[in-house]
Amino acid sequence: MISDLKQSSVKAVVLVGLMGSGKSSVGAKVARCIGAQFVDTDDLIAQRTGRSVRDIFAQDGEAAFRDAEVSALTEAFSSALLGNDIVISTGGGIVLSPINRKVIKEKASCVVWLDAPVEDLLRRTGNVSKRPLLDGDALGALTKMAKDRFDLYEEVATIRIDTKKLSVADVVLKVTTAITTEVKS
Amino acid sequence: MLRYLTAGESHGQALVVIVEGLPAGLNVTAEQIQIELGRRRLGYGRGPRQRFEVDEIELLGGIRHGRTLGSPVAIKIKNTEWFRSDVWHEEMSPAPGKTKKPLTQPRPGHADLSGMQKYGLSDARDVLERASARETAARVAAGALAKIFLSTINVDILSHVTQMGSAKSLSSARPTIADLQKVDDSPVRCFNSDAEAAMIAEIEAAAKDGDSLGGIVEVLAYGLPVGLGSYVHWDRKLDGLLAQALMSIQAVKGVEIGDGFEVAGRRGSQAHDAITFDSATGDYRRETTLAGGTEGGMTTGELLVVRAAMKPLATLNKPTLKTVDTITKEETKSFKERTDVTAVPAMGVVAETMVALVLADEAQRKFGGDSVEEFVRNARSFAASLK
Repeated sequence: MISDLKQSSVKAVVLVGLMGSGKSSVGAKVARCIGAQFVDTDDLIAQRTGRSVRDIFAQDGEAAFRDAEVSALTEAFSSALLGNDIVISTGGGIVLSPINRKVIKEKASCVVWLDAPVEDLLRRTGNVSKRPLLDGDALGALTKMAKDRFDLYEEVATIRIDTKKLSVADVVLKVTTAITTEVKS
Repeated sequence: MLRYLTAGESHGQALVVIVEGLPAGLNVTAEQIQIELGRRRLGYGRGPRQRFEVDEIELLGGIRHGRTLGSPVAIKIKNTEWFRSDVWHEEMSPAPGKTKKPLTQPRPGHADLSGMQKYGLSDARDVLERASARETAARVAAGALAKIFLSTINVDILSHVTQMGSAKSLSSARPTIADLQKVDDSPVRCFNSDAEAAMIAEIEAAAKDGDSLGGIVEVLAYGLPVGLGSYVHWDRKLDGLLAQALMSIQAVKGVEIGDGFEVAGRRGSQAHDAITFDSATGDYRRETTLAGGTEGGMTTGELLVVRAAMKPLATLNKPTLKTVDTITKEETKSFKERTDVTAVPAMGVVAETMVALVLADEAQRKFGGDSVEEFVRNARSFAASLK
């Protein structure tokens, strides 16, 4: 038998926020800083189904996609249970499903909400055609989303980080130190 | 800074080690240390007693309710043989007196003769009791603390045997921490099963002839931060510190960092690790490990690879080595103190320990912190500042 010498204050960190808030780019970097695994639920869904987010939305509808998110989240959390620290970045709409909110609240050791102004989001999502919910009037759609989802992000989040005027590197530093302090208490 | 001091003789009452410089708040149990000590007994051809006997330890200070206090940690490792019989009580007694049977035939390949000359001793036991590798048990206890400390920033350290006698592992596959159980379950602590069979055959052949075997172990450290060690002065270079630490293990005669001696024979174009950038994680990467995860005496953040070569044990069963009696000056045969064919698998665990102690010292130097939280926060902030 080998000894288990592992000890770590972080178990599973979940990043939530609107599309373009930087969850994926920040998440991967934060994971490296704390020596954790990184999972992006959208990527995991694409990997498991062999289909793009856009395809699933278009062909099966949003409800089917939210179901796929539940499985992806559960899979990600179960690898955290194996003793691996994990950083999970999620799709912007993951909080829309009550089951997803419940799973996140129950299983995450901390939930970071990357809160960005709509103008920043719009700039960052500019030409990304894989965002099916932004077809048409993107500014209008984003503004409405920000308003509709505010309460939901607030409900699940244990840390809120205002990313206004911050570079990705700054956000990585903020998230890294925030989760290190948070989990301790 | 993390420092430690060991004391104790091989057949004395106990070994002790004091470790100073650990932060407060590390979760430590006696069992974790005991399990590491048990790993030090691993290896082919060792009797069941050697394999399963537990080193009895006492945590004398620095730990309360399962957590370090930040004060020096003192650990006592009892010598079971001392308690099993009275043989050693008289022989190793600290009280004034004299031995009835001084050892005057120093064994070649050991510290015996030079130690007697250097310290003005007439009994080789005065030397060999401390020169013996039993002392590494105290280091392994300290190393368990260093490993626990490093685990707070997700650094994993393990080792595997890559050569036993002339049997070499030809596989380039390297175990990760998830494979450690498999490695420890191998009687020769080898990760490759073909090589394992060849190594066991080699040991059996040597055992038949009453001879002994050396070999090579590779120590791997995963998840290291960038920048442990330094280029600014010779005595701060991490590769130099690792080499000294590994070379200090009994019977180790060579240390390699990365591809080491092999690199000397290559052309420059084939001898260095190219730098690339991973934009997703914001990391600079080196796809190869020719430099073993160090450049300029600093960690690069890549896998650390170091190897230690051990000479065959100098105490043999059948073909005895020639020596001279220090009283009669006449040629004689060296006495036996122990009879294992090889200690290479166990040496791997000691090598892990030495690497862990060097890295823990350097990590504490770079990130500091009196509590675990402070140390971890500092390490993570540094990592984040590089993004």
